[in-house]
Amino acid sequence: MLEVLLIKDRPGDMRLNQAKIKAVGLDKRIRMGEVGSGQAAFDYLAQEAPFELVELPDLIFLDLDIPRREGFETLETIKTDKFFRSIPIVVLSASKAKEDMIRAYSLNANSYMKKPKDPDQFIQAIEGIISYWEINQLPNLRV
Amino acid sequence: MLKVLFIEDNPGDVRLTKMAMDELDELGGIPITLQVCPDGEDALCFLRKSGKYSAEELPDIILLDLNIPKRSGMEVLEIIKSTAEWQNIPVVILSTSGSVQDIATSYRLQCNSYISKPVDIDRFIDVLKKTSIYWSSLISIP
Repeated sequence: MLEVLLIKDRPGDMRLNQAKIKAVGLDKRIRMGEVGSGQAAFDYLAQEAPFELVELPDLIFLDLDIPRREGFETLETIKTDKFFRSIPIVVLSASKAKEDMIRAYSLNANSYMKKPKDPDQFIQAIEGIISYWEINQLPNLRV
Repeated sequence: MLKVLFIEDNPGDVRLTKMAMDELDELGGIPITLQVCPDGEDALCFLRKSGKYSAEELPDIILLDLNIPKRSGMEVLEIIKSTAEWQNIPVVILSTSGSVQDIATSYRLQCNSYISKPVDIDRFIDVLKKTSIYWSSLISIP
């Protein structure tokens, strides 16, 4: 089972959250934690309060649409950390701007997905991404 | 059109990869062109567009075996990810190595993903197809 961390803003965005994961049966394949800011993401990774009991994630979904500047800052900070940089990060973005994609890859995002507007297509895309990472070898940082 | 650079010295694995790409093409997927470089030095020549590769374009994605002659896959990965012109090209490690150390080092050097080559041929082809679909249809690349 993959441990996944979702970093996103907008609790009202129902397209991807714990409930949606469970509704489509993905909870049998992933265990997903959610945080709503870059600072909370760092606390989660460092297992600082209130995240003392969480597992370090195998994969991170980073929604760039937490305020855009914070999204890139969060990506850069994780990917320059000597330890956490090895965790694969899939960046999700509503942006069609090519420069956003290029910037994400230049900050060492592992993948970049433009979020489909349709909620069903979105969750299907997430399932496809999870299927791919299930066939990958992942750095086991938990040992 | 997806331009794939495959850095691989095993002719059997090259053949299987071509088979997988052909099957995908028949299913109506995005057309893929496969450039094969059999060692690390040849791959770097390709990326530098030097000599016989002067007219070539940079690839959209790189599949990289770690166990290649002349320059190791790890060296090639490090060079690619530290060269501004190439750094944004996704590099997928495709290796027989399942060593924890190789996996850890590859991610630390910012490989984009790491896939161990299955021994079973059908599974190998299936993995290649899933890889192609992911990088050509699900994910956006520069």
